[in-house]
Amino acid sequence: MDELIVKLKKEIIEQLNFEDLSIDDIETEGPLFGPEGLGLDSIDALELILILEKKYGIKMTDADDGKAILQSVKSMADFIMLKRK
Amino acid sequence: MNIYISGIGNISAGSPFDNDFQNSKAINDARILRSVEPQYKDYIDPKISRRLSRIIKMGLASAKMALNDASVDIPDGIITGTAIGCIEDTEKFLNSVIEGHEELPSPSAFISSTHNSISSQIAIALKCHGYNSTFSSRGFSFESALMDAMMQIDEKPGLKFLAGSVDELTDKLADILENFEIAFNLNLNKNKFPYGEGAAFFLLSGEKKNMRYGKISSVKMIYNNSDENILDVIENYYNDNKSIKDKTDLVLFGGEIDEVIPVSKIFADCGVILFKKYCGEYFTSTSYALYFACMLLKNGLKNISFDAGNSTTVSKIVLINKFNNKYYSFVTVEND
Amino acid sequence: MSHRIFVTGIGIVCAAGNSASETLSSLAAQKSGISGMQYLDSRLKDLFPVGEVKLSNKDLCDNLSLPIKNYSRTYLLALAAAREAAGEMIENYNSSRLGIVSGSTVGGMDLSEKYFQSVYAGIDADISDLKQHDCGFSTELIAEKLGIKGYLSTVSTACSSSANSIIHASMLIKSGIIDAAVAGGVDSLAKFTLNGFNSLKILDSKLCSPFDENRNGLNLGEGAAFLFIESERSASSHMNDVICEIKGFGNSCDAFHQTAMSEEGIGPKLAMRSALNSASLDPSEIDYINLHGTGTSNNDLSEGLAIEEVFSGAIPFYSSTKSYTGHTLGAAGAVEAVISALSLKTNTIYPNINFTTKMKELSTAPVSVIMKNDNLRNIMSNSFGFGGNNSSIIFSKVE
Repeated sequence: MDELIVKLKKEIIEQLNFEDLSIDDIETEGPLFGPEGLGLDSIDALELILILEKKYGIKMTDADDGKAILQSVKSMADFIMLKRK
Repeated sequence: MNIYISGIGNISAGSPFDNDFQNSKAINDARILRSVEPQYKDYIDPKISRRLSRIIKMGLASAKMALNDASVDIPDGIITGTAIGCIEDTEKFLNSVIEGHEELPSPSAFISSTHNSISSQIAIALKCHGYNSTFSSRGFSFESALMDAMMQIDEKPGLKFLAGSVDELTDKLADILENFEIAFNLNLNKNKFPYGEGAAFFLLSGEKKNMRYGKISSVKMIYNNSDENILDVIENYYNDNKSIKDKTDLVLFGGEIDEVIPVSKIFADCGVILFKKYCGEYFTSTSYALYFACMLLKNGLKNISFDAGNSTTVSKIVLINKFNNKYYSFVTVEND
Repeated sequence: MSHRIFVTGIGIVCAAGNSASETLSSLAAQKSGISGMQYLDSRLKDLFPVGEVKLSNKDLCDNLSLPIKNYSRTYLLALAAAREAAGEMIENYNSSRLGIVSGSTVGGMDLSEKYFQSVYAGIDADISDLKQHDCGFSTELIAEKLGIKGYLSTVSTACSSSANSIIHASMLIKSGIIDAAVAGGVDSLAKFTLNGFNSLKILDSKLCSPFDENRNGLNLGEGAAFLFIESERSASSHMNDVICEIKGFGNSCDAFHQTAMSEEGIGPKLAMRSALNSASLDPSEIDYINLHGTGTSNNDLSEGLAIEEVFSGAIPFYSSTKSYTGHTLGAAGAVEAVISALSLKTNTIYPNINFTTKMKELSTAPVSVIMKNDNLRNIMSNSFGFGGNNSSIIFSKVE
C-alpha cells in the first residue's frame, strides 16, 4: 500500500505539472481539491481519472462516486486496491 | 487618433542599450535568439504557474510589468497578438493524439493550446472582465492588437488598454522555418538575422496626462500582395502622408542592410537602426521595436549604435517593419 | 456622419447546407446536418456524430475551380463562403478601401495533423503543408483571391472568433479605415479538436440537445461563414440591397477559468448588456436570441441564468441552432450571424430540434417549434468561447 501511495504521488506531481512539489509535500489523507488542499480543479479531476485509466487500467463508471474516490491520495489508493481484487 | 503609452513590459534577448549585449555572441553568431526570462514567481502565483506553458508565462509576466510600470491594477481591456500561438502545448497535445492513436490524450495541453489562452490567463490573473481579444494574423498580429486598442480608446479616451504580443520559438519551429527557407527560398530571413521570439505589452490610454513614454500618432498596415519592392512601398506610403515623415529623428527598421541607406534618404538622412539584430526575426517583432522606441524617447540615444545616419536628438521615431515582403507596418511614436 | 453598419451579403458552408439557400432549406425543414463522419478519418468515427460539411476536399476544389492540390480544408471552406458573401459586387469596390477580417481556432490543423501523422508513420510527407497551419494563412489567400488590399487580419478567440471578427471589421468601418469588409470565420474538423473535446468529456454520442435538462454535451462541427458589411454611405452609393444592420455589439471576459464558465455567467451578462448599450436598446426590444447553446452542462446553465437575469421581466424567444450545424468553433459566431440574418429576412425563428425537457434551473425554455414572427426586428446572437471570451452582436431589420 505504501508503495502504491508513493507511486500515486509521483504520478500526480508529473501529470499535473507540480514542478516545485515533492512527495512529502502531499498529505496522503489531505484533500486534493479546494483551497485547503492542493487546489485542484475540474481539469485536474480529468487528469486524475486518466492516471487511473492509463497507469492502472481502471475505468471509472457512472456507478462510481468520482468525488469520493478522488478526494485524497488515500481514497484513490483504496479504490485501486478494491478494483484489483 | 493620439494614443499615449504609460507603461511597458518586455521580455526579449536583451537591451539594445547594453554594450555587452550589442557585442555578444548571442546577437552575432547564433541561429536562434532566445529571450532572457525573468523569475516568473515575481509576477505569477506559483499555484497557477504549473498549468501555464512558457509562452503564457512570458505574456502574463510582461503584461504585469506594463501594469506595474503604469501603476494600474486592472486595465479596461486586454488585446494580444500571437502569430503562432501556444505552439508548445499544441505540439504536446498533437503528439499525444498521434502517438496514442487517439486513446486517452491529456486535456491540460489541449485547453492551453488555443491562441487566446494568453489573453485569457492575463484576464483570469487580474480578474479583468473588460474587452478581451486575440489576433493571430501572421505579420499583422501585433499591429492588429494595437489598432484594435486604438479604436476602442478613440471611442472612449478615458479607457486604459493593455495591448501587446508574444511569440515563442521552439526548436522544432526553428527547424521548420529553416526548412521553409531552404526548400522554398521563402526569404523569411534573407539578412540572416537569427530567428527570434519575445513578449512586449503596453498600457495605452487616450489621455495625455497618462503619457510616460510617448504617443503613438499613426499606425498603418499595408499588405503588399502585388510584390512591390520594399523601397517603393515605403516611398509611396510616405508620399501620400508627408506630414508623418517630417521631422523624424530616427527610423527603427525591420528590413535588410542594403535598404538602410535609401530609407535614411527618404527621411532626410536621419539615423536608421536595424532593430532585428537585437530581437531576431519573428512575426510580432514590431512590438520589440515599439519597446525600443519607448526606451529611446525616455532615455535618449546614449550607447546606441546606428546602421546609417547620425541622429543627435530623439523626439520622433518611425517604426517600419516588414515580414516576408508582404506584411508592412508603419508606426509613428513621438513626444508630445 | 452616419456610423451605421449594414450587412449586404452573406455566405455560408456548413453541415446544414453548402450555401445560404441550402442552409435556409434545412432550417425551414428542421433537418439537422449532424451525422456520422464521412471524410475525417478518426478512431472516434463511430462514437460521435459530427456536423461535417457534405463535400469532400475534391468537391470543394472543383466548385472553386481550384487545381486538386493539398489545400487545407479550412482554406477551401473559407473561400467558398467568402466568395458567396462578397459575390460579384466586390469588383465594384476600391480594393484599398476593402478589408477582410477572418476568425479561426485551429487554422489549417486538418492538414498539419496529417503531415505529422505521416512523419510518425515513416511515410514521406510534404513539409510545405505546414505553411497552411497558422490561423492567418487562409485569410491571406482569400485577400489575394478576392482582391482585398485595405486591411487584413484574423482573430483567434476560440468559439467567439468570428463574432469578434465581425466586431473588429465593424469598428474599422466606423473609424473610417475601410468602407467595407468581408468578415467572418472558419474551422474545419480535425482529430486535434475532436480528441481535445473528447478528453474534456463534453462530446455527445448522440444528436445534441442544447438547453435540455438531460443534455449530454456538444456535437463538433465545421464550417465557414462570412458577412459582407459596409458603411451606410457605401451601401447606398453601390445601390446594394440591405439584408440587415449590425446595430450593436459587446465583448467581455468571464475571467473565471480556462474552460468553464462562471455559474453566474458574469462574462455573458456583461457581453449582452454591453451589446444592448452599444445598440441603445432596452432588453425588452430584443425579439429573439440565437444562443451560443452548445449542449454542454456548463455553457447552457450559465448562459440560461445570464439571459434570465439580463432580460428579467421581458425574456425574449431564444433557441440554439447548433443542433443543425454542430459547434463550428471559430466559425460559430459568423454561422449564427448568417442564420440570424436569414431569420430577419424570413421573419422566422428556427427552433431547437431535439428538445424535450426544460432545464430545472430556468423559468423559460427554448423555442422548439418553427415560429413565424412578423415582429422580428432585433436579434441578439451570442458566442461564448473557451478562455472566457464572450461576445454578443445585435442584428436589426432596416425599415
